[in-house]
Amino acid sequence: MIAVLALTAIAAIALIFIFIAREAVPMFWELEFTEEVNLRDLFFAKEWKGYDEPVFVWQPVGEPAKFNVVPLFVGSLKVTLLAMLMSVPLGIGCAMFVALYAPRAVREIVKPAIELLAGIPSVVLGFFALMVLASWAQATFGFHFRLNAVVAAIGLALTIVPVIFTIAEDAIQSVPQTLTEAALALGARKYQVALRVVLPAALPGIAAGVVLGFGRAIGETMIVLMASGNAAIVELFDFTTSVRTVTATIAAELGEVAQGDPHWRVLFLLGVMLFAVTFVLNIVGDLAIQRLQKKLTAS
Amino acid sequence: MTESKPAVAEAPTNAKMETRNVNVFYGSNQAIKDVDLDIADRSVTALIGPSGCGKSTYLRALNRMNDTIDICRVEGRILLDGEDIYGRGVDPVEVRRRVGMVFQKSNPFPKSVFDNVAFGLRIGGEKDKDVIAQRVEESLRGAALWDEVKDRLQSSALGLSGGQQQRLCIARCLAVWPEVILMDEPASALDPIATAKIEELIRELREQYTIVIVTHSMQQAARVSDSTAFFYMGELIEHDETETMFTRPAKKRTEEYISGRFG
Repeated sequence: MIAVLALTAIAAIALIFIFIAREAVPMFWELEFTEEVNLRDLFFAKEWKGYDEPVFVWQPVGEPAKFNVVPLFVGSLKVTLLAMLMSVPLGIGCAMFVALYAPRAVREIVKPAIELLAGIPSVVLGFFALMVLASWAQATFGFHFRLNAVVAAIGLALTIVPVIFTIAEDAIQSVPQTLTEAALALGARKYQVALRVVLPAALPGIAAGVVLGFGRAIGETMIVLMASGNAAIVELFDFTTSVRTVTATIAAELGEVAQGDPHWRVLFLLGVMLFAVTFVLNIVGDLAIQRLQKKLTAS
Repeated sequence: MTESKPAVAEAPTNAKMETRNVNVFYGSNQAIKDVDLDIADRSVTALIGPSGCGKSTYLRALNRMNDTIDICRVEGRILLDGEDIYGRGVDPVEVRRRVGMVFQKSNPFPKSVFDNVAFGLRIGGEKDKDVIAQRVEESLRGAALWDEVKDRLQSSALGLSGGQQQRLCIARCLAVWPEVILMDEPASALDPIATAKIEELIRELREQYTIVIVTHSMQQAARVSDSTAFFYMGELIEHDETETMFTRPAKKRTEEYISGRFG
C-alpha cells in the first residue's frame, strides 16, 4: 500500500517533468522555432542590432524577439540568495531561542505565530510587500527603484522563515536531553550547551530545513512577481535594482502567448530548467545531510 | 518510630561533602526528606534502595543538576568543603566543575573520542593544544581506556562499545579535575565484563577522588564501596561502613532490603 503511494508520487513527478519537457523539446527541430530563434542566443550574449556590445536580453515581444534566459536566472538567484541570507540566521536563531531559551508561555505564543506565517497565502504577502514593505524600505534605505531585489527578498523571507524555523525547531527539540545533561554536568554554561552540543547535533535536521527553504524560495512566484519590479536586468551585485525571476516570467507571460509559439517553447524550457535546478539542489542537499548524519552517528 | 530517624554513624572527620536536613521537592511532591549524610573524602559511598526511593534525586542535588528541572526545589544545606553549594552567589557551573557526574546511560557527544574528552577543557577556556592533548591522554589513561582508543582518537565516540562509551564518559568527567564524582548506576546498562571493568576503575579512582555511586546491585555496592547509605521512601534509613551494613545492619528495613525481602 505504502509502496503504491510512494510509486504514485514518483510517477507524478516524472510525468510532470515529461509533460513540461514535451512542450519545450520541439524547439530543437521545429521549423517555426529555428527560423525565428537561434538556440545559442538563449544562453549567450549577442550584439543585437542597435546595441554596441553583446548583451543578455529578455525581450520576448521585441522585434526581433530576444529570449535570453540569463537575466531571469540571475534575478532568481539574486532574490533567492538574499532571501536565504536573511531567513537562515533568523529561522535558526528563532528556533534556538524558542527551543532552548524561551519560557513556556513565550514558546506557546511564538511557535504557532511563526507557523501561522507559513499559512498566509503568498499573494497576501506579495500584496503586503508591494504596498507596505516597498514604501517603508524606500523611505528607510533610500532606494532609487521602489520595487527591487531587496524588497522581493524580504517578502520571500517571510515565507521561508517559518519553513526553516519549524524544521529546525523540531530538530533542536529532538536532540536527546542526555547530551544536554552531559554538557551541563561538565560545567558548560547554557550558551555553550546550545552552541557546542545542541546545534551540532541538530545540524542534519537544520540543514534539511534550509534545503527545503531554498526549494521554496526559488520556486516562489507570487511574491516576486508582485514585489520585484520585474525588469530583466543583468546586474550581479547591485541588489537595489529591479529583477525579474524565472517563476514570475512564466506566470506573467504564459497566459499571453499562443500555444506552440517560440515564446511558448522557451517558457517551458524555463520550467524544465527550474525543475532541474531544484531537483539537483535537493539531491545535493540530501547527500550533504546524509553525510552529516553519518558523521554524527558513527564513523 | 525507630525507623523515622536515620541512624547516622559518627560523622567521619574527613567529610568532603556534608548534607544537612536536605529536602527535595518536585512541585508539591516531596522526594527527599530530611537527609543528613556525610560523604567521606577519597572514598566510595554507595547509595542503595528500591526504585523510586529518591537516591538518584539526592545524587543530582549534590551537583545542582536538579536546577535544570523547573519544578524541582532543594531545601537544606549541602556543603562542599564546608561551603554551601546552594548558597547565595554560588555559581552552579562552578559547582558542577568540582562535582562531576556520570550517568546511567552512557551519553558521549556525537563527536570524536578526542573531542569528547577535550570538551570540558575547551568550554573551560583552555586553548593550548598541547595542554589539551596531554590532559586528554591522562584522562583516558585514568579511565583505563587509553590503550583501547589511542589509535582511533579522531573517530566517532559512538563507534565504541557500550562499556567503552561509559569509560569515555568517566574520562570526560576526569578531564576537568573534579574533586567529587557522582555516578548514577553507571554499569546498569552494561554486560558483566564491562561492569567488572567499571568497578575496577572505581576502586582505582578512589585513591584520588571522592565518589558517590547510586546502584541497584547490592553486590556492586558491596564490591566497590567503603560506606553504604540505604534510602527508603525518600528518607535515609541507615548509613555505615559497607561491611557493617551488609553483615550487621542496625535497622530492620535495611536488613530486609539487603536480604532481598523487598525492593
